[in-house]
Amino acid sequence: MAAKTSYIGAGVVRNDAREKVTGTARYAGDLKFDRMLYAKLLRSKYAHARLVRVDASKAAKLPGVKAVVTGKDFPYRMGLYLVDRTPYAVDKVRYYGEPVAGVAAISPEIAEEALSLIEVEYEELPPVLDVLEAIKPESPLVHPNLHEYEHVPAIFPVPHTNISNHFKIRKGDVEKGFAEADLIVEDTYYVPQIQHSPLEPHAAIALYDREGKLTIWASSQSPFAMRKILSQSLKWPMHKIRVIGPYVGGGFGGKAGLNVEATLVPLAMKARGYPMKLVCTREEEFRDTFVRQGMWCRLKTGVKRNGRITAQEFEMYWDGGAYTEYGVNVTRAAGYSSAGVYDIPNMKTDSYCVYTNKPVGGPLRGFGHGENHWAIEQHMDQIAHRLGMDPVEFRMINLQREGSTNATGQVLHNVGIGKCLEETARLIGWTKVTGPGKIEPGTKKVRAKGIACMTKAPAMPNDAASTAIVKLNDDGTVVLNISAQELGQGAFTVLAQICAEELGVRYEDIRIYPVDTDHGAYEWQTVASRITYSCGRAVMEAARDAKRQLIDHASRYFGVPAEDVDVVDGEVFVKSNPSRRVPVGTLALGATLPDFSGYGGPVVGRGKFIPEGIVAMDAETGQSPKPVANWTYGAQAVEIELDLETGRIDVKKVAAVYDAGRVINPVTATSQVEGGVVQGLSIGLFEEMKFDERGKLLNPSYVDYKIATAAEIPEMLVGFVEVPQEDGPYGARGIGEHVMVPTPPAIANALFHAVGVRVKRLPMTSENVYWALRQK
Amino acid sequence: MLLPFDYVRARSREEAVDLALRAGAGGRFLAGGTDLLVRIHDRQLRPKVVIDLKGIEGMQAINSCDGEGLVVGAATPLNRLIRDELVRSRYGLLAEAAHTVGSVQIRNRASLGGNISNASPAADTAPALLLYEAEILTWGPSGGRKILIGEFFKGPGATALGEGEFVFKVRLPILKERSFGVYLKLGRTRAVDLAIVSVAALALEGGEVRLALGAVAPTPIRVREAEAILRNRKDKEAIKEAAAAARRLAAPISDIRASREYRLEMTEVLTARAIEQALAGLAARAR
Repeated sequence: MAAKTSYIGAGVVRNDAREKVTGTARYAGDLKFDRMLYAKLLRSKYAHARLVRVDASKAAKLPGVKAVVTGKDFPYRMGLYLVDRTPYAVDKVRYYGEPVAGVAAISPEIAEEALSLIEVEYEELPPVLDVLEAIKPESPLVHPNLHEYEHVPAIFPVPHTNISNHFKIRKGDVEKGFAEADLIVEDTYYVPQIQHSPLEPHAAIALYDREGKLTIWASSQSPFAMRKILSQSLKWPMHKIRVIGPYVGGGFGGKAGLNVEATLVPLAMKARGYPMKLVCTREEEFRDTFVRQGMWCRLKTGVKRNGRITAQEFEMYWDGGAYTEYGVNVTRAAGYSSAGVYDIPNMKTDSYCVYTNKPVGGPLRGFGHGENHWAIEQHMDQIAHRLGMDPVEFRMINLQREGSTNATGQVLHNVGIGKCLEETARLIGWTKVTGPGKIEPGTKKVRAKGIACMTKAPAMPNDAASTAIVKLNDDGTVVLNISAQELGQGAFTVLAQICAEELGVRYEDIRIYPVDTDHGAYEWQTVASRITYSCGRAVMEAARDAKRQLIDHASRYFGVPAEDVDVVDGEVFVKSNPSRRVPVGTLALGATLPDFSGYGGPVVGRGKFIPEGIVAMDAETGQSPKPVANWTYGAQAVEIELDLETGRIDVKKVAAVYDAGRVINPVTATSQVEGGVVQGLSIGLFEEMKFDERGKLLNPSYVDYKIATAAEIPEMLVGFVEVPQEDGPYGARGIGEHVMVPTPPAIANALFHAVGVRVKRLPMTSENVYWALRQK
Repeated sequence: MLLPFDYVRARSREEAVDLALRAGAGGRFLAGGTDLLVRIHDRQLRPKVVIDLKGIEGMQAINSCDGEGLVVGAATPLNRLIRDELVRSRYGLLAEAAHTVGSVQIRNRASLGGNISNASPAADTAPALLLYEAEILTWGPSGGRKILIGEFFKGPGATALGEGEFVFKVRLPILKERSFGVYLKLGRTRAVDLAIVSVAALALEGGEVRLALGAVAPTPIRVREAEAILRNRKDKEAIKEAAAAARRLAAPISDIRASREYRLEMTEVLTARAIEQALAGLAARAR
């Protein structure tokens, strides 16, 4: 009998590696079609202005121009959670860079020339650039018609204000909790807007054909969600919209939902039969796709002398930008996770999503958690310091554990954070923090360690679902039809591993093709660290279904009971007589019986998954027995070297431990963690979108928006804890976003341990740290 | 998107000058193109004709001339300069500084002549050239001429080059004494960044310590007043004084990369460090 090698927990080579290394992998920007046009967008030069006149008539007459549109031609509002965004500005512009008009022409040069012929008259309005100003009653309104906008039930806009969502947690009795406290610590924290910085900018091709069908090829994390938003907004049947998703060269949330693709739709409708391509410039990528929202917050915590937290009050004000159709859900997620990894009996949280005249806030890896944990995890260190306790010891007292409740009042089970924190502390060589860091002899440098924890749930609608179809070819190779996107995270590899494991075929024999909403199995979106968990379950079920069919064929073929048949490594055999065996291909299309009659038919396995039992949170209190599908926990510790004379922080070493439930592929899981740590480090030390006083982005390029380079990459020690997720495949849960969340607060905590200085504003650039050191 | 322009590869110095004069304000010289093309792309420049100098004989050569030091063709890519044995052994400071320009890919194209002709106050090779007292050999409508590096930079983006004139070669005079140079560049990231402040120090066996600053004045500057303090004294106090003098001589601006105040503070910090490291390096070399 063949020895069964398990693919679960095996570091198989990624199935997209060869294509990507040799350059044959195709991305949306690589695609070319006959008669293809080039689209360009005219963008606003004001952050907030009334559109007095938009005249594109001269552009339309330019030879080579096939279509021109302005907001008036296509005034449809769109949005995933709150329907507030038109592809082109209609009556006013709401950020510097907003599309005002679009052109499709036979060459990029002509398209660009056409843009220069469009006349726009603006009447400048006072821009709303500061989130704390925007919430004042006297602030100009970015969306005066907010009260008319449709939204999902979980979102709570405040009419006639700039607040597009107000999420609340009311748990226990906060006043009583503070009254019981021996010490109350309060502070404010800030994170700026930042960019995802994917290697591949947004790119899309749209074709509106003679039959009235719209096809979009897009670099997208969300082909099905894109189809849904367009269908709902345009009132078109879904079969009139097809979205095809080739490989995505990095998304990090920025390619979720519907984005720049929407601007192509009216152009394509005007130039029927012409495919047209839009590729964002790097400047557009920085400013005119999603950005991570800024956030200002105030956090107040009451604690007993013995270290036990009694109450927490948390106010978050999110710099949501000009449209918050997706961003509202970020603020909701940050609200329901506002306890972090701690068991806090009394809580009051208010998370406000606020419109400003800045680039559009949206999902970015971490989805609100990099932001709220920047506050929570520094705050915990501040409390520990005030109590004279070690930060690890203080956290251990308050960590969520079996039977604890989180912010939503959910009773928690199988909580892995304690193990994560212990293992992280061990890996970094944590010793009790006593006094300031030690100056390296002969230098002006000081070394210190810092630690931070995190938790996050998939932020998604309660019914976000996955499907999978497993089709066998005559030769025993397998088509795994799923619509998860390969963004570089390794989804195709892990899903093929699960399929191989369950079906009993070789991993190398499984093929996954680009997403196509017309032909592919349904997938909500490739976001929320949910693919291994959700799509993984669907694949598991589909592969088992296919295997059952194979075994049924084999049972008749061999004339033995089904229980006596198994499939291993691409062969079907009789367990009681393993010499009786055939390749999977022999039975893939059905069985040919001894009398040459056919039986069965082509094997098609199907599987689906929806996380069950998620209950909507109460509108007033945010309480729910099960508000989300699952929680992933993790911890990170860093060792930094601080240059006392320049303020430069060098991160020397990072330890990161996550409870993945079950690691399907240790190689891709580890590289996921490493990538997250580097991104977290980059956000911690360098990244900030800077604006002038009129709302113009000053650094829309890598010259002055710095991200970590290879020279910044620290030594990384990665570990995993495996407390199984009940409904995850083999117990697995997601880690993709979580791995970048605690890095910045861990660095900030290390900085404090080094010199007793706390920087509560990101990023911790050399200059920012230098002035903080000088202020001490 | 690039606006269209004519590209011409000049076969001789004379042809390059001729082409440039004919194009007038619409002409630009091209070596590596790493600064030029970015500016054309960003519409800061809209040239009609781009004149490639790389085909001119000697533009990419590194030659050692007896008694005259080293002569480097202006279009020599920085990576070739960095890897050149003579440059490394005799003008190590220049190799070190050139190594901090951009990324490996950029340095495969970017040239020494381009780095100085672009005349950024933050040009990484400029402080080293100032300390080696390089001579800029140019070619223009009236033939060749020699400009001392100290007189070459006129302001941000401005040089002593006249109309139709380009940098042909850079001559590095022979240093008769043993020396040790240090280039300290403070960027936001450790690599692939522009200098917020840069300091070059070159300690010579005869007791001289030369100092130059980048990114803290309209041009890269040599700070001779600070050097003078170290003429006869090399103790901690003297180093401190020299660093303070360097700070006084700096006149930085505030911009998106750093504030004027931070640049001033860092000028002092890095100058002291550069001097210490240069002196220590020279001492180690002498042993």
